[in-house]
Amino acid sequence: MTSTRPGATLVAGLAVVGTMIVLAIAAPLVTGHDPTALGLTAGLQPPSWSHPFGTDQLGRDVWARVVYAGRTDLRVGVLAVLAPLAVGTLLGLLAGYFGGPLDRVVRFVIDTVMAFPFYVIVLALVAVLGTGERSIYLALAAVAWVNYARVVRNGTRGFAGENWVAAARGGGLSRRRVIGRHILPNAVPQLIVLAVTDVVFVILAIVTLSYLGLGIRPPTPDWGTMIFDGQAFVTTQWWIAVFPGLAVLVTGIGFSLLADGLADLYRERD
Amino acid sequence: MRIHRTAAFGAVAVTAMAMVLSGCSGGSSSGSTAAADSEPVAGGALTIARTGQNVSDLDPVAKTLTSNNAYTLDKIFDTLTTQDGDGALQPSLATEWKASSDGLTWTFTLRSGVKFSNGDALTAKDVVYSIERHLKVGGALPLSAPITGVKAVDDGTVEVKLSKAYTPLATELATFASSIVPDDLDGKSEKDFFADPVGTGPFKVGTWDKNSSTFELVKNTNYWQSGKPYLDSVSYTTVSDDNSLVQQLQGKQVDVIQDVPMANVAALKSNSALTVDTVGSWNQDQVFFNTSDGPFANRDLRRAVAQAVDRATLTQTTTFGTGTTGTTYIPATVRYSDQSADILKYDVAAAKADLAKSGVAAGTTVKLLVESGSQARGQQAQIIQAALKEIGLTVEIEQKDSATFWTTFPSKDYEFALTTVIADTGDPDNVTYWQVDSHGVSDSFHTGYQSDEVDKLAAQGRETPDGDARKDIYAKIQQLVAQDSPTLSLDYAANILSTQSSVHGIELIPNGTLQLQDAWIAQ
Repeated sequence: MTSTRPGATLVAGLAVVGTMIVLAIAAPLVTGHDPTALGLTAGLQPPSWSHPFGTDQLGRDVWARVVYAGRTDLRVGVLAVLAPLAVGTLLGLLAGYFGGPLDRVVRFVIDTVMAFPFYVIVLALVAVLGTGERSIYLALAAVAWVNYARVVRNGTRGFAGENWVAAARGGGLSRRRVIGRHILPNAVPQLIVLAVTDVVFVILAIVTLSYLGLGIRPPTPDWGTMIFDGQAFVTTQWWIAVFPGLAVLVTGIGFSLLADGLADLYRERD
Repeated sequence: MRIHRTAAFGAVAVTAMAMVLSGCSGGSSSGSTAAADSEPVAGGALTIARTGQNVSDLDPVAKTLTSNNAYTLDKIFDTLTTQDGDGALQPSLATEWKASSDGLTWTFTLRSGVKFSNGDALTAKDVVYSIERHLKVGGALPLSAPITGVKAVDDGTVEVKLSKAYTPLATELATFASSIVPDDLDGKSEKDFFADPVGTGPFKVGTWDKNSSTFELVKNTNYWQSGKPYLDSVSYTTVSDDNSLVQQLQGKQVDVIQDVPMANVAALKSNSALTVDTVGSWNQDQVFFNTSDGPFANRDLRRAVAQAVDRATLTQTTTFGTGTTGTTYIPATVRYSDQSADILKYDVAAAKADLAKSGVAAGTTVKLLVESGSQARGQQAQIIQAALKEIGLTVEIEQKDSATFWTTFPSKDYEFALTTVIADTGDPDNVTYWQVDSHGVSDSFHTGYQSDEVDKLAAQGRETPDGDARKDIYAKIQQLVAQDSPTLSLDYAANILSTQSSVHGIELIPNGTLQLQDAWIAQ
């Protein structure tokens, strides 16, 4: 994305993501309602002053649920990116630096995992592991590391043959030091952009799993479950599904802008 | 979860239940949408939209019987007996039936003058062939009656011999699977015959392409009820989800929609161009406790749960007032359901007392296995979760897709479970045999419930002729079961139908089908 005002994308992305994060952290301050308290006689109320986003079928405040669900989904989204990021980076560095049989094995595993559609593997893993947050982390970690591994491996493979690496080794530096201090930093900008982009996909995956009843367990509020609950009412009580849907949309746009902005920033530096 | 109405009668997912997904609903008011004083008009084509799968097989004893296949069979074929909108047994191809005093020989007198759609007369031979074929093949809804022989006494009389008295026989012969086909399928192979089946019902197959979402029936001009059916043709179209179902009706693209989503009933009722009709069904949303293993082997804990849940509010909220509050394990529309039985009522103080008696510590976590895919069931699980929190139990909800649910639940790998079940017939023995009789086929519907007294009464109920004595037996069973609480009926669903107001005379039956022989469209 080229922009006449470099940084505008980054600022917009930071603003959107920042707002979502602040709302999620400050959830108890921005709503007076308990997101899980049922009010069976006050269900399906349209948006009003006391319930700005209306209430759902069980009488729960939709605004409260949207912001509390942000806590869940953003937390899981960010955490679920960290494990694959670490595993993928480590394997990519080793495979790229050493080459040979290790590289062949890692590439084989990467190609195998990538041959399957993402959701096919994730759904199969969740079916085996059971529903819940733990399964989401495990399933996504098992699949998502390949992206990082591939990027890091390709970068590292290029550096491994360069003279400065040979010079560093010749100068007495240990392999660990060469990889950690000299090769890894070159991959960091790309990794950050990739990780931020990945947060969007991971949040979408969590929302999808929850929509299918395989993700976050009720009563913990979550955007996917909220959309599923509201689906029956799309034509009559639109607010139940539309607000969590908008939250997913805004979060997705926010992280995408952020990723684009960071990519622009690094490109300019080069 | 994409709501395909997987629905299977009997078989795989178990005879007494299935009807998976999309919940359904509960209700009242039977009968037809006809304006009583207007005269039916002949002619016209009726269009009906429904969700689920396209019509795939019209063999009544096929291995699986999806609801859309089943609800098509009864338009093409008749049965000896039939159920009306109130669930009562009525004559159809048999005008009369009676059992000998020992209950071992049943005689069915056939209606005279009945012809198949190809013009051939119906005789006792056809009936004998159909029952024998059903016994031999079994299919999705096999006959449970202990039949030892079927024979044609003369052209108009059929005799069925039993090894043991079995009162539900006449009701069992009213199911979709007991459809009467011609003797030896008119000499054709099954494949050829069921591609364009010949029956005595009001319609026959018109256009049928298994890959298309439309299926057409045309009038059977040889139908035995003179002057009927009024309609020239009926065209079914399968739609992908509930929202498009409603939109098709509101957009006047179709005349009738079946299985109206409960959330839309109020909006459709307020539309003066449309008519909404409901009838109590044999469906219920029900909680099953694993009584042989785990925390709910404890009777007091089951009773605590039963009394902690406000089923009336739950029903009102999750069925939008279309369902009726669950009481005993026998749905209100099934014969001898005892709605005045002394059941465990909503009483938080009593629930807390039973919890204390059970010795289960407050704060204990119990796992509720839920069949996913139904919005209503998901909400019900959360209401149960909130209700049990009040008495100090933490509920962990485990949602499983249908396929996983129906392997986990039957292997008893659960603590308590929530799903939707349907009775196959309007006789109380059916649901009793499946759910509470430990000699039944499913280990008391995977609850492991066993009570010598209930078993003894269930055997008696099966043999006792219909009447007050039989009614008392089932009242006693319902009472015993309610107090032991191996299951908890949350709500009885309604079958809901909505039509353009020009459509009259459709009768909605508790088993979920629509009878169309009296249907007509005002011009």
